[in-house]
Amino acid sequence: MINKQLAKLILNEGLSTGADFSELYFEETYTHSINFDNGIVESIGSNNSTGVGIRLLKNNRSVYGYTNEIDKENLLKLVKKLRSAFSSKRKIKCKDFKDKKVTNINENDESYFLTPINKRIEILDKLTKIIKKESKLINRTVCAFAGDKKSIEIFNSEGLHIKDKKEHTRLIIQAFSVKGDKHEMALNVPGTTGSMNYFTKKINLEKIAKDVAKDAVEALNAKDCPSGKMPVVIGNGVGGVLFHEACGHSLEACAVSKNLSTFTPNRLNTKIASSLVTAYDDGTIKGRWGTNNIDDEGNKTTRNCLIKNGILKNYMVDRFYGRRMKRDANGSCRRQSYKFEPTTRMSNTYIDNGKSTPEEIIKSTKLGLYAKRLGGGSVNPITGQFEFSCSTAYIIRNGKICERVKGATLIGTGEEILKNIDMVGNDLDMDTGYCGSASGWVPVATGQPTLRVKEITVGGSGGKIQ
Amino acid sequence: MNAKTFFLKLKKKKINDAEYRCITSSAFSLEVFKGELNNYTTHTTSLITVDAIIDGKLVMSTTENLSNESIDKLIEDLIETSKYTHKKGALIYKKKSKYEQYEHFNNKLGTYPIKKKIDTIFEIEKRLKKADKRFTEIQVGYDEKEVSHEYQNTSGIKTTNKYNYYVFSAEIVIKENDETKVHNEMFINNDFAKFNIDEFVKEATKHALKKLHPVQLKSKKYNVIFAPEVTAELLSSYVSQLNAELVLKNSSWFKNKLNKNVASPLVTIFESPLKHTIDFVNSDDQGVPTQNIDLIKNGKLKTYLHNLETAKAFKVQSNGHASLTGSKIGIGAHAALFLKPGKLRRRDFFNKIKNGIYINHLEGLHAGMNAQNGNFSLKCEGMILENGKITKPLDMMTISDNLFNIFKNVKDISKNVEYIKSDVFAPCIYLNNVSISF
Repeated sequence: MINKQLAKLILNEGLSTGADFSELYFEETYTHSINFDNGIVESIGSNNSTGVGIRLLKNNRSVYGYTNEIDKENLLKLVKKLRSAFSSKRKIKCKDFKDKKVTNINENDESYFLTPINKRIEILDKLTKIIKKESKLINRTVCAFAGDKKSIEIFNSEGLHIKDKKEHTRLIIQAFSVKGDKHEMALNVPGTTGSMNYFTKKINLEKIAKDVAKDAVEALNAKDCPSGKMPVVIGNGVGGVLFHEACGHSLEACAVSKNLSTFTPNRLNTKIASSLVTAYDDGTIKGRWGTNNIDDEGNKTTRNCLIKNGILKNYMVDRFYGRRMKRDANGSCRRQSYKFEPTTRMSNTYIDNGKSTPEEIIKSTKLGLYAKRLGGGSVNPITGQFEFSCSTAYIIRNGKICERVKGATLIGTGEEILKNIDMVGNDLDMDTGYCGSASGWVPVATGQPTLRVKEITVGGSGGKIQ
Repeated sequence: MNAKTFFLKLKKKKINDAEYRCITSSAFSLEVFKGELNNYTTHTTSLITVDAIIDGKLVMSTTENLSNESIDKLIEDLIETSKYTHKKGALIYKKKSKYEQYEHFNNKLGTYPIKKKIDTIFEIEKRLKKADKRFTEIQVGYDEKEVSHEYQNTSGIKTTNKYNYYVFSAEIVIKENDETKVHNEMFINNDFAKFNIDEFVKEATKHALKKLHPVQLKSKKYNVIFAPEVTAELLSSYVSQLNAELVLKNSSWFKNKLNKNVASPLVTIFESPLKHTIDFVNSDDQGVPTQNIDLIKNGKLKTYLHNLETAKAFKVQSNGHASLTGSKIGIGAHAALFLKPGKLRRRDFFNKIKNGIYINHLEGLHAGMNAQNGNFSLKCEGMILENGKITKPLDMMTISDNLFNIFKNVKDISKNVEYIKSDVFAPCIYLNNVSISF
């Protein structure tokens, strides 16, 4: 931790050449992982990381530096280097710090880090056995725990002083299958910012492990996915990654403020999506993977309604890019670690429940694709163009889920998808992931109910859909 | 913390085999947007990774806490961790070896004043703005990095590697009527004098404008030429599957294919980590000397990528591919990976193929390919090849194929080799009957 006297000295030094804001971010992180590969503990790893990031702002300019040598001499050296980017006279002095208290959203009991290592290994062993029991075609399993606990402390020249602690625990459940020359893999990665109770009491790990095994085996017999434009039903939970990539990034102030987004401010309060779409970025959901008490510039996280019944209502905004947009920060500023300057990022981003049941959505689709689980993908926020691979997909024929297909990719633009959503289910669920962008990899949850897009371009090598 | 103190403290606990790695890096980056230097970032950090072999098990920890007081806690953690680790057979490199030496750190790079670098990015922005009115947003950046690696083990092996480089980058948004396109241009080197602003702006402008007015074709199978940057991406993914650990775990397509034909006879893939270039690396993460080797020769698989442990399992010598991956010593391919070029220059190569699709960008290969079986279906960008000439750009197309089949089905390779940012040197490759959908 940094003492207040030193923090004030550093912040004031930073302001001495005309910066209008200075901020000091301290972070101490400990990570621990156990990799259980094919029934043995292959490796256990730990990592200690401690460092400080200093940010100076002057109008629309930002200067950022970081170091893991956090004595007075080094911090002064760093801030002097940073302030040399500006060359005017001091405008302000750092105010006296007022301690701001954090309200804890998550449970603190039964922490991953307080659970004995042998108990964690027992869970991994149990899951491995469940997967292997499911089929002889499973030739390898990887089950792993990865946890991190982080203490942060933020001081800024407006007198803010705030401390917070956060934890993330993730469980990787992976099955590899083989049949002749065919190799497939399936995985599920539940995660929480809450306690180990999430894994032992709230979710059904046994079912998840069995489903992963079934998925890997079923994939061995999948046919090549047909290509072309077709209706696509996207499964709940992980399907939300499409909204995250194809629309969410275009609603971040870092893109919007520079006119590098399709959803520029002149489109606020206009229709950008089907009336069935209401979407949120909500960093306040207890235990969720993207939840935080405060963001990485010390603001309380919020439940931010981005789209209401198809109308664009708001953006995710941080302090720096908020200046260009003349909007206040709304608790959406994040970073992977002190090694990254913070910027606007998503937290738990989801499309809210609609009224249809998932069964109704499938039943009303004559011929199309059911993208049950999406894998990775990418998007260009400027054009909104995206591509996503489907890790589990089926063809829907006459309202029924039929053959499994492989190699399916969804291609389109965010806006086109948003406007073409014609059915939204009532089974909202969320999944975990890491989002990589300007301020590094941050944990995010993506979510949605089952929904249907009336037409998406599907890539695949199976010819035309019949 | 230093290696000597760490090793001595371990010895007192009767732990005799251990490794110490320290990576120190310093960097700064600049970004210009709308005539303002809107971002400047700088840092200096050190990261220490230590491991020890306790009862034949490798246990590892990474720390940024550089104080000597932290060593005792770290050693306690390593001993505790060893109680729960099952995997045995960890090895440490003990052979006194000769390491190729080459000074590829450019001392001059840091001596150029920052002002010159700032002035250069302002100048790039100014010239790009002037180059075409359809360039509506331009973001120009400069990154400079200096990294030093130190490796030591308890058997007296000590290696160091130090390198630096800089990157100029420009992101250009091109707008015409309702059409919006984005182009990214990049230049990497470690000799500042080699940066040619005229050429950079000219290339960026040329490539950016080529993206306008795309057309779409019918979905079907086409003759396809992969541009060097696409070949390089595919090559990196392909070679990563030669990881001997994946082979041992039945998770590599290359299992049981050693000395068998795995690719077209035209395909020869080799690594040259000892070539005297910016990518020079003389040892791996276990202190084993690297070597220039053929991985696939005329289509035949010659070797897997090994660290000490996998080499022992295959009863061969390690070929220096140990790489720190997470909390273990895994395996990684080197920089300076090459696909041997063919005989025809680019123009003659295109003339020979005449008609098809030239693919110059693949979107999201890292996430969109199934590493288990090589299948992928990805959004890509490209141009139409008509009568040996590149004509119109193509939009919103998807390529569906299989990584391993691609290298099996290579019909021709061009002579032009381009150095790609991921340290891979690749020419164009030509295939027929590739599924493209629009």
